Formats: sequence, C-alpha cells, structure tokens
Amino acid sequence: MKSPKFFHSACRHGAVILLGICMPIFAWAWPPQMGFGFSFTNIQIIAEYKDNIVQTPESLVLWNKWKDLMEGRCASGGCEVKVLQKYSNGFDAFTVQYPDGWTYTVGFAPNVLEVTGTMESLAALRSRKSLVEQDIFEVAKEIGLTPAEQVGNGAISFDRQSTFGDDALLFRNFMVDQANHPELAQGVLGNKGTAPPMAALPAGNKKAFVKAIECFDRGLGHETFGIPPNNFKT
Amino acid sequence: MGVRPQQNYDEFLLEAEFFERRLEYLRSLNRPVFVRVPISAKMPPGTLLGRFVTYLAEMKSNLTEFGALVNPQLKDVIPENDNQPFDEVARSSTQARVQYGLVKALTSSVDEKRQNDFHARAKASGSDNRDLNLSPRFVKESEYQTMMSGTDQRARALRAFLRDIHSGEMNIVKAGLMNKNVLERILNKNNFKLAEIQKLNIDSLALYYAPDIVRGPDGTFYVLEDNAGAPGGMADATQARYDLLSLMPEYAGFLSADAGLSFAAKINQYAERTDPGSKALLLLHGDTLEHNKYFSQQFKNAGGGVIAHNATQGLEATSREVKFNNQKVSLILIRLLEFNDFATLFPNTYKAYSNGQVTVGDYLGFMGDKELTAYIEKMIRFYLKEEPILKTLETRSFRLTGPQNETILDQELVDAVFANISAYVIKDTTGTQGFGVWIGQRMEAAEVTALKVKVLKEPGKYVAQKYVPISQIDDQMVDFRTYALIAKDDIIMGDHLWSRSDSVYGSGKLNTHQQAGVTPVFRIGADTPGLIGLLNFNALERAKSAEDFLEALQPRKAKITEREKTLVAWLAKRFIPEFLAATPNRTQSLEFMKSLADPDGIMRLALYTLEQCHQISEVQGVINVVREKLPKSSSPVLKKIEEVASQKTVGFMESQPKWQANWSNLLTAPTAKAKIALALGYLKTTKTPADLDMALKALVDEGFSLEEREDLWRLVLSQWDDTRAMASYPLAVAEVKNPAKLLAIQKNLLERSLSAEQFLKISEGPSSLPKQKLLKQQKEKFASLNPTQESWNAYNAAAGFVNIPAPTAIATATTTANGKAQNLDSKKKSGLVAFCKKLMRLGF
Repeated sequence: MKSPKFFHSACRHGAVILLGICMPIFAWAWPPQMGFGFSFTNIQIIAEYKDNIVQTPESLVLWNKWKDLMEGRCASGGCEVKVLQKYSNGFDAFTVQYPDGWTYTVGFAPNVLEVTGTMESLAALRSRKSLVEQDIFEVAKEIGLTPAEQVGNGAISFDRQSTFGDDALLFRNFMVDQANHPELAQGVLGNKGTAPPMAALPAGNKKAFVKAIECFDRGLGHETFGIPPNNFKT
Repeated sequence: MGVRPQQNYDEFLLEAEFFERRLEYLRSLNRPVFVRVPISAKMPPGTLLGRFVTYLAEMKSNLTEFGALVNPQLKDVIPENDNQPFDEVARSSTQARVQYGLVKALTSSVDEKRQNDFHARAKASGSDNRDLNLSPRFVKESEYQTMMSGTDQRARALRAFLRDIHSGEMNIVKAGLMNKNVLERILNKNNFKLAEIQKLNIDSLALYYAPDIVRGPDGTFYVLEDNAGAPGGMADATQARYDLLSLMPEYAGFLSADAGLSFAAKINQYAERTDPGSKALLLLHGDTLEHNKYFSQQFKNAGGGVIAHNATQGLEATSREVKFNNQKVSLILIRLLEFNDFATLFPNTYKAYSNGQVTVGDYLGFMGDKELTAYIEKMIRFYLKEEPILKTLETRSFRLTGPQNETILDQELVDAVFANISAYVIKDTTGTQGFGVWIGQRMEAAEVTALKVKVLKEPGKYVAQKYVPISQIDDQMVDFRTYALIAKDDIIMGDHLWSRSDSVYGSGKLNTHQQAGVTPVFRIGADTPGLIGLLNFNALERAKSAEDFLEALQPRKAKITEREKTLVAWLAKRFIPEFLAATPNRTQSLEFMKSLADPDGIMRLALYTLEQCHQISEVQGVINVVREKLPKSSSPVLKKIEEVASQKTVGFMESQPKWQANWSNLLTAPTAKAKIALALGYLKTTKTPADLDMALKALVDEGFSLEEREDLWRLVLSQWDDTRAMASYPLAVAEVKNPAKLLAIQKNLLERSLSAEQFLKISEGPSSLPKQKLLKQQKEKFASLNPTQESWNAYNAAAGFVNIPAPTAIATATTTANGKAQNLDSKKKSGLVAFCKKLMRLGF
C-alpha cells in the first residue's frame, strides 16, 4: 500500500521538522515567555577575535572582572554567582542567580560577551527592569563594554510551550510572517550582518521554504497556500 | 529571533512587546498567512520603512508605539519628499495618461496563465533570456526628441574625441580638459595603446553607441553611462516591440511597432551614399540569428545582406573588395561576434577592412569606459561648441592628478563617499552588464568595507556617482535607452527608444544580466496612431466634469470603425477614474467626482485619488465628496475608503515632529477613525492623572462626539497597561453610555483583571452584566484555551451551575468536572480543575 501523500519524501523533510516543533501539548499557551540575549564588546575584543576562537585575552579579562564585580555585589546577599564549566562555545560561563530563581548567564561568543536570562512573561520582564539595568547594563559599562552595532547579535528567545502551545497554525504563521517581511531584519529591527532574512537567501532556500510550508499546510488539512516555488528567479 | 544588539533594557522590552503584539495578531487570524517572500531583501530605506508602517498597521499599531525600534541609520537616509522618484505615469502628458490607463485596464484582464505564457514566449524570443514587460511605456514627442538629439550630440562629441586622439593632436589634452595620465589610464585599463589606435584606419571605423538615460526626481534626464563599443539590446529594441504586439494583440488597436525609417534602412542608405551601388551587411554569430529575426528581416527589406558566421553562402571577399550575393558591401555590422573572431573567421573581409575598403562596426572597449562619462560634457563644449542637451550624472574618479602631474588618491572623495555610502553608486569603470556596480543604499556593512579596500588598492579603476532615485512606474524602476551608430561622417540614430525595468525590490541594476526586463517605449503620436486623431486630448485635459469628459471622449472623426466605436465606449465606462486619478490636479479630480453619478465610479476614483493625496486637506476633500455623494452607501469599498483615508491622515500627522504638541491638529482629521487614532496617540503621551484629566476634558472641549469618545475609551483601555487601564476604568464608566461599548470595555478588562476584587468591581459596573454572560465569557475563554473535544464536553457538563449560588456552583463544577474528567489524562484533568478553582478565586 502506498504511504499517504503527506509523507512522500518531497514533503517529509520540512513538514516533519515543523510538526516536530509543534507537537501537541496541553498547555495554557499564553502569554508567551521570552528571554533576552544581549551582547557586549569593545574595540580590543573585536581586534583580537579571529579564527572562530571566541574567547580572546581581552574578553577573558572582562569576563573575570564582571564575575568579580557581581561576586562583590552578591556578597551582601541577594544573589549568588556560580561558574559553569565549559558551558558556552566550549568555554566557562557564570550565572548570577537571584532569590526568586531568576538567573542570568555571561558567556563567550564571537566578538562579544553574551548575556542571556531566564525566560519570563513580558509583565515579569518589565518588573525586572531596574535589576537588569543595574546588574547587567551598568556593570557592562563599568568594565568598559558596550553593545555594538556592527558585531554580535541581540536576540529574543520565545518559549515554545507558552508561545505556541499546540497551536501549529500559529507557529507556521509566525515563520511565514518573518519570511514575508525582510524589512524587519534589513534595518528596522535586525542586525543586518548576522540575521539575514529569508528574502536574502538563495532561490533554492526560498523554494525549499515554500515547499515545506506547502507540505505542512497539507498536513493541517489546508489547501496549498503561497506562491509557487518556480516564481522565484534563479 | 536575531535582532540588533540592544542598547538598553527598554529597547529589549519594546522589542518583546512588539513580538507579543505581532503574535497576538497572528493568533487572531485563525487562517494560514500567504507566503509572499520578496525576491530580494534589498530595498530602498523609504520602502523598508513604508513596509514596516504597513506591518504595524496590520497589528493595529503605528510608529508612535514602535518607531523607537527603527534603526536610527535607516531614519537618516529616508529620502526627503523632494527627492522622491519621478512618477512616470502621474507626471506624464494627458495623451500618455490615456494610453497608460488603457494599458492598465487591458492588462488587468490578463490572467496568471496567460501572463506566464507571455513571459515564457518573450524569453524564448529575445536574446540572453531577457524578459519582456507586459505593459509598454510612453513618452511625449518632445521628450523623445530631447533624448534622441542628446544622444546624437554625445555621439558626435565622442567621434571628435576619437579622431582627436587618433590624429595624435590631443587637443583636449593640450586644452587642459583631460590630463594625459587619465587618457593613458583609460587606454591601459582596456588593454589599448595609443600607438595602436593611431594605426587604425579611422575612416573604416564605425562605433556603436547606446547611453543609459534615467529621469531624476525633478524630471531632468541624466546620462548614467556612455556605452560605446558593444552595447546590448540594439536589435532587441525592435524585436521587443514586435514580441509585445504579437503576444498582446489587444495593443495592436492603438500602438504601432514601426514608425518612420528603420535603423536597418538608415544603415543601408548610409552605405549606398558613401559608396554608390553598395549595401550593408549584418554579420551575426550563428546562434543569435533567431533572436535578431526582426532586425535581420528589416535589414533584408532594406536591400542589405544578413549572414551567420557558420553559413556564409553568398559572401565573396578579397583583400580589396567584399561582395554579398554579387552586390558590393561598404559597411559591415558585426553583432554578437567578438572582433577577434571576425578577424579569424573572415580573414579576407578583415584584410579588406584593414585596407580601408570597407567600414566595420568595431569594438573599441576604451570608448565605453565609465571614466570617460565624466568628460563628455567637456568634449561637447570643446569639440562641438555646443551646450550639452543631456546632463551627465555627477561622476568622479577616485584618482586625482597631483602638482607634479602624478596620480594620487582623492582622499577627500574617499572620505565623503564612505562616510555616506547611501548617497553614492560606485562603479568599476571597465564593468559591463551591471557587474561591477555597487549601489550604496543596498549594501551590507561588510560589502562596504570590502569595496573600500578595493577602491584604495586601485583608485583609478573606480568612479563614484551621486545616487539619484530613478523614475518609477508603479513599483518598477525604469530607465531609457537610445542607440546609434557612429560612422565616419554621420551619426545613424536608432529608430526606437526602449527601456529596462526592475522591481523596486530587485537588484537596483537595470541590466538583463541582473534580471531586469525589457520594456518597449512608444512615442505619443508617431507610435500610437490608434487614439491620436480619434480623441480630443485637449478637451480631455480641460474637462471639469463627467459631462465634459464624456463629451471629450466623443470621436473627432466623422467616420469611425466599429472597433473604434467599441474602444471609445469602453473608455467612457471603464477608464474615467483611472485617467483622473493619474492627474496631479486634485481640484479637477474632486470636481469630477462631484459630477459623476455612478457610485462605483465615484468610489474607484476616490480610492485612486486618496492614494495620491499628499496633505490632510486633500484627504478631507475626497472624504467630503464621498459623504456628500454617497450618504447612505454601506459598500465595503466605502469602508475601504474610510480606512485608507484614516491611514493616510495618521501617517501625515505622525510624520510631523512632535505632532502631539498640537492638540488642535486632531480636529483636521477627516474621519472618526483617524481622529480617534490620533487622540489615542496623544493620550499615550500623558504621564500623570492630571494630564489625563486635561486631555479627556480637551476631548469634550474640542468637539469630540460622545460616540467618538466612547470609541476612544474602548481603544485607550485596551491598549494601556493593566494597571493604568484598571485605574481609569471609573472615568470610562462615567462617560461610556452605549451598552455594547461598555460591555466591550468590561470584557476586555475582565480578561485582564488581576484579582477577584477587580473582577467583581468591573462585572458589577453600571451595565449590570448578568452573571450568566460573564460565565459564558469565561466559558468561551476556556474553550479557546482548551480546544479538545473531551475537555469541552466535560466543561459543558460542569457548566450547569450558572443559576446556582456561587459556592454550590463551584462544588458542583469541580465534582462534575472531576467525574467527567475521569477518562482524561492527568494534565487535561488538572487543567480543568484549575479552571474551576480560578472561578472560585475570582469570587464565584
């Protein structure tokens, strides 16, 4: 017996990836929990970075400074600093944990020190404003680090369960929405160097994306949506 | 999701809010979003920002809320209004607008299948797989003449320059207009030596010439490049016209492919004049015969010969004479065949050329060097003693000549260009077919750095041109192409203009090798005989009302054919709004709308006119007429008109700096929706309760109707944060009288209530919402969160408690839910119970 059309090989790759991400979950899927990814750097780090070795002498010095500074602040209580061995890109990272469990982590990334935080709802993130400003942005400034426009990459992470839950259509639409709107990545919101939009990718990638979405739509029982892949110029 | 590195935490919070709002919008759609990935991500800054504004509008937002997310660098390069691309349709003549309107109406009925077929056939017919645009372009006779005479003038100047350096006189160098180093550099770059050029038989040399012409924002024509040597598209200019008319036979009624003497005929006449009894010969690469079939046919029709390199029957050549089919040949055009191949494949013919017995269209690469473009105006003044007809776009080399006649880097230019790369286009002076062209506005940071390294390494190889927004038709960037043959004592001008075009979202390079399509250009009058003579264009231009317009559309000819009769009737019915919408005379459009009786025509004209409004007062004018003419219509188009008017107004208002400072501006908003959107923007800037009180009082004082204030409250409370919205709820209750609107406010706040106390306070507000309704609402919410059939059944069983006192209801609900939920898995069961417990917490 032939397998169902949906699982034919042409569809399998993209659709299974998408469906895999959106497998049914019973969850109160709103509001979404989000997390930040800040990057900080200075001229010296950028000058030293080469050959994909993400930890440079300068970034290591500043990473230690940051850790020492936070250990000093945490000494009077209110937070705790822990080192994580070989955590980020194969290098150590350290976390700063607060009494309510919220944590931020400082690790190494190309050209920058990267700071990520536990994901929370927007309301919770807002309530943490003064803490993040004091313990991240001010600390970075104090040791001579700034966010840089041309290197590194800011990021926003979405928690899959609270953001999409079992709403496969929402996930699918979010992917398509981002692909349809390169203006977000090309200067409005995006870091032009490190987050190229779908529109900037070669025609083959676009075709593959459209194919995956078409297959996904069939899996959801929808008609095929989207322009035919052969409309892309090669 | 990658974003720019956040400069502070507020920026991150705004981004997070932005994405949450977008996700909310996507959740509300409940249908698949179409995939519409643009072909290219490179767009002009204005386009990027415009798309972002539209994106925000979809999610009921605007730049006031999220404008801070826009990259400051992007804001800096947004073109000023006076630097907007020239609109080729709106700013063309009445006659041209009539033709454009006709084309638009005809093409709107071409379905996708036919369009695909059209493009497939056009690509197969043209050379280099070039695509053809479905819609032609139109120019006035005067514009045509400017471009043709300007091309002729530049061609004459180039011929004089070639003769000047060939003779060894070098008068242009002696006059100090061109440094000898520059000349030598241009020759060296193109592998030529002055001595070799001076050995050429100048009288036997003909040269193709085809400048690239664009129209700047103010309508001025500029030459971007003077392509001399082997410019592309000359035969295609003719071919494309025939292809268009054969693939779209609808055009044949009013367009003509042929006008006047063809280029091929002029060439043959020239050959005969310079050597009586002789003709010209077109010598093609064998594979290209098919793609030059119309040009070839014209050549044959004019008595000339056509041969392909691999089928040379009829050609007899000695070192002293060339004959084709026993007729003497004095001029040979080589197309799409390398000059070196010509010498190898046709040794005797080449010898005849070397001996001065025959003239050959040659390829002299240095004559097309882009650095020469900067000198053409000087050449015109120096050699011809004339003022240039066509301006050259400011072009500067990165190489200067120093005081000791040495070449040095123009550091000042390097600094200026790379400090503001968006204002420049950099070109490799030896590049062709769009390669070696970098458009600053479309470059990534890494590309700019790499280009700077190249320029610093070989500054003499690159030139910088000021970026000029190229004119557009709809969303297509377009240029103009002319072509000519520079011969010994004449400039043989091509008979057609043509154009290349590309989407404004494309590469920005108008070359077929960069995916640009070919568009035939038709001269109003000579090339468009179908309507000229039939319609009274002057009367059309002067028409102030529908009656005038319809009268002007009456054929001027006493006898008209059935086809013309149909055409005119069709124009009168279908075309009026399209034509008027394209006119820059807004007063005329409004007057015309007033005189129209057809509601459909009024609405279409209103929509077209709104799209072109540039001020709030113009929007107001359109809306006034629509309301006056269609007071009771409930057409969806009318809603669309209101929507467009509102968006336009808010856009205009928000584009003014600190627009919120002028509260009275709100009163000029032509639609309630726009007024409310603007008031909302203003209220968002209020920081304290006192500010809010003052703003709300102003709403009353400034004449906001009760209905408008109610709408505003609904919007304000839904968009403010939870705390602020809850605190302002009593103020809203005092004002909102409409039960439906109050209910909407209460529903929204109930969903966001943070405690049982707040929930009860809102639910027991003056609208006295029945408990059943609240419970129903919670039920809906539950359903939306738990869409599985099992849990829904369980809830329905439990929800019989609505008329039972609260504590009993909860107990019943919990028990029933537990009972019905026996078969559910633990997660779903706990979710159901959690919901019931939430009800209890909320005070039920």
